[in-house]
Amino acid sequence: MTPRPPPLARRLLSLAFPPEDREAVLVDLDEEYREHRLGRGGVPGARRWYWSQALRSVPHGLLLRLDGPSGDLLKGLAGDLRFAARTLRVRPGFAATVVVPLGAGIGVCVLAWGVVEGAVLNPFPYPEPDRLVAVVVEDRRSGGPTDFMENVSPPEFLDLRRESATLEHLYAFDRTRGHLETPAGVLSVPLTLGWGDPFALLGVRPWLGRGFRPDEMEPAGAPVMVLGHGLWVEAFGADSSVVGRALELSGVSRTVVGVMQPGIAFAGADVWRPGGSPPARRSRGPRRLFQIAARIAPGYGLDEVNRELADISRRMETRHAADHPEYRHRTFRAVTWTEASVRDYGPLAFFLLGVTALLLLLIAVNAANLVLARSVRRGRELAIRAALGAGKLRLVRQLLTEGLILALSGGALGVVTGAAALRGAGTLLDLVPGIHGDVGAGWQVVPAALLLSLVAGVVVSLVPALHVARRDVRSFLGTEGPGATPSRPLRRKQHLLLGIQTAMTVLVLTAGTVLVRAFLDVVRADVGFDTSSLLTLFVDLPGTYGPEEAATFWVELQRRVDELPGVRSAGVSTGLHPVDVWRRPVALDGEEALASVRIVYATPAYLETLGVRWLQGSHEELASNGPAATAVVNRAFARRHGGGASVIGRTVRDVQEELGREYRIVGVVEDVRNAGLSVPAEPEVLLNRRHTVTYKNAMHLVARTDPPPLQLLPPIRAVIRALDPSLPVRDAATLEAVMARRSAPLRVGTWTLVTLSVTALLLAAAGVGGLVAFTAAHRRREIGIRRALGARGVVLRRAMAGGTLRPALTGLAVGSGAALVAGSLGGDRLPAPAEADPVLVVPALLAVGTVAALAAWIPAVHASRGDPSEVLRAE
Amino acid sequence: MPGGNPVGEFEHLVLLAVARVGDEAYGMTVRREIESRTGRDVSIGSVYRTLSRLASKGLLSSRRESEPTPVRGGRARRFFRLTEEGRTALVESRRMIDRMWDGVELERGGGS
Repeated sequence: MTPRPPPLARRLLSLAFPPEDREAVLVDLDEEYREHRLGRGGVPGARRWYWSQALRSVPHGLLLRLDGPSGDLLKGLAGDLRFAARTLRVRPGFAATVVVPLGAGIGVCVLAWGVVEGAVLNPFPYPEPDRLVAVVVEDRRSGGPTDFMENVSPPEFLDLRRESATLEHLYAFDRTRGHLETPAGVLSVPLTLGWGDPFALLGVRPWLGRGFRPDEMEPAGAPVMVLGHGLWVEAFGADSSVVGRALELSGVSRTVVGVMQPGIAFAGADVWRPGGSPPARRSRGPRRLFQIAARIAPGYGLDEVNRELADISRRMETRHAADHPEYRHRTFRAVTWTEASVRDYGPLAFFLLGVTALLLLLIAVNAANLVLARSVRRGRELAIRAALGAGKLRLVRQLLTEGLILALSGGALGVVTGAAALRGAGTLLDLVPGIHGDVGAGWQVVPAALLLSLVAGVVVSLVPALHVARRDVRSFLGTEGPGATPSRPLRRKQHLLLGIQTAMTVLVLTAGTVLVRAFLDVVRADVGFDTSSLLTLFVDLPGTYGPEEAATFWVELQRRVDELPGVRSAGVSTGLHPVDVWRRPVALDGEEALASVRIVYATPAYLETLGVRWLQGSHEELASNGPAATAVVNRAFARRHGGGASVIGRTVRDVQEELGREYRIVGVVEDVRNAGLSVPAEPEVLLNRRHTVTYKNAMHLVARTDPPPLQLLPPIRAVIRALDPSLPVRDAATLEAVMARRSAPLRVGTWTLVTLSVTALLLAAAGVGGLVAFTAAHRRREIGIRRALGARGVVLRRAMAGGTLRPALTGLAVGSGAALVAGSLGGDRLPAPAEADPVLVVPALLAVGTVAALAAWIPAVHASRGDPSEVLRAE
Repeated sequence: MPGGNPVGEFEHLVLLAVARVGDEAYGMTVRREIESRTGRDVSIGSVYRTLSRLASKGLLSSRRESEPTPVRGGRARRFFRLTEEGRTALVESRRMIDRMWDGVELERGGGS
């Protein structure tokens, strides 16, 4: 065997040493290595020796490069770095005024990027999350929103699975609730039942046990289930012996075969079970209670999936439109699971990220002006260095290096603060409902921060460096030294930077105003009824309740709560206005199903409790105990689907309902919001709960109270316990709390942006004020002479402040223009429900204008007050 | 220091090693000479760097020679030799040290 030294160590050495010494070093070490091999330590000893030599020699090799001919550039850079560091150390105050804001800016950017990355771009811990898709259905009649929930029937699932080559691991599932026997008692848990393998779909292995076997997917298969990790920890104390045990789930004994990975809450489920009866035997439509998730098969992209889904949709139409006319409007489409899940807050997060980046740029421009002012104060030093032989290039390089050091220090500060803030944000965002993902500080923020620092460094030092590069260095001594009136090129650059800064401040503030307006719209939104003094909670009856028992239960619950002292009225409903109302297709007059509308099954008392205003018909008619099932529709429904005629007396049918019962419309009520806080009411049908004797066993109870609503929670709980002691009660809260939770992401975003806006404003004040003070300091002699000659203070003040305000005003104009252009270009991409409205620029203009005027005036007044004789004597 | 370059301690050792080894002075032999005489474990990198620094100060001269013996294809090796200036610097620092030691009495064990 040839005696080979450790190759990695040898490679390190050859990288470290300059070419002229490399060979010699390696040959020498090889020779000694051979001798060591024959020594007492043998090969291992020789290898140890070689490594020790290599590791200790590498730094010397690198330093040799600095000594040698190829080291001039590096040496120059090292010298620049040393010199810059020394210069900045001498003036820690100046360094801090640049580094701290930059650090804060970079920190905020790191924070924003971390949140966007963790909660919007990559919120799910599945492998290749961008290949996980939701199959949605586009209804060509409404053109707009796509439905994901409850849009597929089991036979359609079979068609898709058979005909699609671009999708694999299709999983059709229904989200429902079940009653699970646990050591902590019977719990009402969200569960997913379906066909397909959820583990293959997600690409994860079970944490414990196994997934479903094919035979267990068969209708006759053994009853099994998989538990979610969170449920397993909380309700079973992370007891691994639960795997293999049989537990009762909604009246059926099922064996737990596995536990899901931690952090996987696919579709919000705590329990997974196979779907039961075979899909082929279920009806194709119009009832569609399932939804499909799938993986894009290797080698395909989302576009190919969608082309194929369009083809499949056309084929379904050809085959089935005669029996199922809705196929003429239905097209299957795939969207990434992430997109489907973050729709509510994704745009908001990107908006915030954009404004944050703008703020960082603003900070960098502000710092650039500081550095420019300082490079002028250092005119004498620069001139002396030039006299000593430093070329202009050398001076420019020096300034660039200083800027870079400042920015990198800021970057380091930013990473530290940003990472700490991210850790805090992770905890905070966990409290904001509806946000997925895990936000935490990871190393991935470091390259981003480094890049930001480099950009900031270039911004900070480019203008000062250009200023020096373009000038005759000797002029620093004369026209730009302290005491001299600033030269025109210098003033032009200062004004340019100030203008840019003002314009960007207007942009940031306008963005802030847009979001504040959107937030106020949501908070102050008139949802159509009085939301105060309403208490709501959710009751979920177990499967042991038959239809008649359930009907009796709801009537009895409503009656007993209604009779409680302090309760004005109480009702039950499957939906909760304005935030939680189903969307489903309905048929009007037995015709083909309309595009989806909002739909609730509610008691007449629910409408009364909300205080909905009647436009046609009456509460009594709805509540009347006639033979026909009754319904009311809202104004939006009557307008959209009435076809100009009255809708009273026509019939509607919920096509998802098993019995296919027709409900006669007996009234029209005023719109109340049903699609969220900030969206106008969609067409809606309210079906009288009393006529529904089938499947609605989970309802919201809503009570309007005289005392503060939460005071009535204990007596209401007592009523429920008296009816059935085993019933779990969930989500007890005031309606206002429910609404506040729903608007939480927007609230967090708004507060963030308000903070950023205030920061931008303070920076603008510092920028304008600093520049006026700088000018004043440099014009002391001129001011002193003019005052000695009898010039009045106000004239001087106007001259000084005015010179600075002019570029600020230009910045205001440019900023407003930019804000308007940005608004008109990206208006539709603003976080819902913000709108691009030209008026929204006004508050920003006023704020920045006022602050700039004050910031200019105060130092001007200060400068014009000194005793002229003193000023001149000091000169 | 009048009439010479200031020489650091390690440079001093390297200069002396070159003087001792004579015609065969290159990286490895210098390293070994220092190691065997002082017992200090010295890295080849520090030796090369010091040799090259001393050469640029003019205290050593170097020549490249192909190895006569067949070592891995006989690649170029850099041999070092003291220059006149190097010789003076060594002598000068020896004298300086001697003068400083003159009259100083420090016995083994140190302290009293």
